[in-house]
Amino acid sequence: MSAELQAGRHGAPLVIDQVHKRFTQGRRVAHILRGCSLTIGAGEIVALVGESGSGKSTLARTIMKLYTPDEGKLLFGSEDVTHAKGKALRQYRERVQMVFQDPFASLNPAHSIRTILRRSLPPSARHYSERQREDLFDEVLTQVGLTPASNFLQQFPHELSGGQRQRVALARSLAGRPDLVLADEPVSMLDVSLRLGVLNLMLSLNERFGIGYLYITHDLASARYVASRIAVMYAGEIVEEGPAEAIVEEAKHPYTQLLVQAAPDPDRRGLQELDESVFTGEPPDLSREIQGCPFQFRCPHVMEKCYESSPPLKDLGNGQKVKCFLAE
Amino acid sequence: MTFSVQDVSVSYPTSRGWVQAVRNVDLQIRPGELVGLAGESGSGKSTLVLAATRVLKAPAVSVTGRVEIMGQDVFAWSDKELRAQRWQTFSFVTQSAMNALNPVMRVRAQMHDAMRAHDPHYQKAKADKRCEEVLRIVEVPAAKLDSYPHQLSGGQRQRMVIALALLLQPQLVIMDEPTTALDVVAQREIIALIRRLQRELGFAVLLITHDLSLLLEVADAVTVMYGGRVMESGRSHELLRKASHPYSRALIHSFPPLHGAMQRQEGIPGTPPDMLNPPLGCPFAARCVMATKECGEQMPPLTRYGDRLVACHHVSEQDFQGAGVIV
Repeated sequence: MSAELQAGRHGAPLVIDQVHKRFTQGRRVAHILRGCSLTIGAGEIVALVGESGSGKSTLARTIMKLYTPDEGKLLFGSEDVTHAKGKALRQYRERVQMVFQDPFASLNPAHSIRTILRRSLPPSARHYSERQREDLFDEVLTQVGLTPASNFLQQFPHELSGGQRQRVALARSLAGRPDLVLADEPVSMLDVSLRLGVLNLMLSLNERFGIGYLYITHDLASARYVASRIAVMYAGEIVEEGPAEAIVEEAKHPYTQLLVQAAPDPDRRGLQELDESVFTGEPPDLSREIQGCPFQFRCPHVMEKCYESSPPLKDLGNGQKVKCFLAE
Repeated sequence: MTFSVQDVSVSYPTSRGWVQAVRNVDLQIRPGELVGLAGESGSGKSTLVLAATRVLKAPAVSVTGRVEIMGQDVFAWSDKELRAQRWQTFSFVTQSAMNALNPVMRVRAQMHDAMRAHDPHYQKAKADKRCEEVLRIVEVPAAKLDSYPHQLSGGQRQRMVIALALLLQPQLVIMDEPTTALDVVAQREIIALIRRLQRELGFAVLLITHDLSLLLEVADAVTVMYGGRVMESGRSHELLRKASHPYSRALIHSFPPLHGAMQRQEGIPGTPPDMLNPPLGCPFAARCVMATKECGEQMPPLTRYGDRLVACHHVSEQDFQGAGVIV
């Protein structure tokens, strides 16, 4: 990776272009990502919504380069990082960081917070003196609201609450001054009263430092709360994406509509608005080729042509794109 | 009353003394109702239910107070009576369906086990018929009876556990976070199913969850616990419209809305209390915006205002006047 990328701080969009990822087990092949395309602008918060098994986490791990795409491209700024190795890969990972779902599993219980942070220091910080390091730890812990930082540095994960641990995980991702943080369900394991605190922290880090996020969740309400754009994933494809408000209020894809209907909403009393006919079927078997639209097995509006070919991605003009024959 | 908990306290012995996990809790469920018990982890909601149904018992815990199921004193039952009542009168749906089902037994065998243990009139042929019936009720194909748990999807497994709980037609089903492991669509299906079965079969449900937004939408009544105590309880639509306790109010505002205007919301600062050294006064005082000196020193009593129970020094009769809560 080049000096150009380094110079492009907070100016590097991530482009995921037609990425395929297959996993094989013996003779069985599971097509988990099936032509996934998504762009995360510099400093943008994009939410990725979908049910379990839809490939959200696989996409995040592919972006992180824990998996290499079988087809398609991964562009970061002007660099093609699809097959980045060695130094280029390390530099890429310094700028794209990940926060995992379970703060009880993602922090090593045998290490103090200081060690956890030191271990996560990027290669570019190797030459730091002890003093500079301590200052950096102090800074990142203060940024995530763990003050006084010196107290937390000597503590161990078991001494912290779930919310505090997730803040440590966020602090760890910040140590490398990333441009983009992939947050895989960062609040779903936290108590309800602590969730907003972590989401607000993500928002303020975005405002102050221009850090972009890919916020992976299955909670549409929180997706609308933090993200400017929402992408909806189903069976390894992005089936709809657009401005957060448009996705929640004017969902065009039947699957997005199903998600909006299924989201808990205390203002809608009872389950009367629930159309039970929608709730049939299960996600398709990804170990087989799917001919046509992947949602055909559950879609209430399924038509003849849905079985024959996969609908193209249609741009509706307002930034909303949808993969459905029904969209005008 | 199908289920009545009166002034129940539960303590665990630890090497550092007794932990008061649940203190002076009251809870009532009428026939056919769906009552929600909401609270964060460590608020004592699971402990309360497990102790009240004698799943947790001495010397592991110390329980005081009175619990009635269908008008009978639970703590007065002999072990034999308790065994007879379990599953016949009340049953459980546990949190993780994956762990609730035995992975090396077919579902049918597990259902037979439950019936053999708890049904005095157990007959193999009749039991087989009942298995097929309950599977029809929970909308799983009868062929799945001979599956092992790993051959079922998450939603199907959860339906199996519900079917298991309904085998002997209990009057009360206690569900501990039945949907947390599922995604939103499957969660919605299960809750809709439970609601429909309740209408058809008439059993009452105690639904334990941390998801207050779900409870406020689907439950008839909600009890909110914090730090081992009941903070507030009431009919869910009234609670949503006008929560009185600062904690339930803050909790309701912890959920971003799905529709309507969006604004930056503040969560609840701070962390839940350490139950080994519980605060002297109100457990929420340290995180409460309205807290005064009194709150830190003295626990406010759980006071009844019409349908509502509230434990807060800053709530009085006046708050409910004109709100139509007191009749």
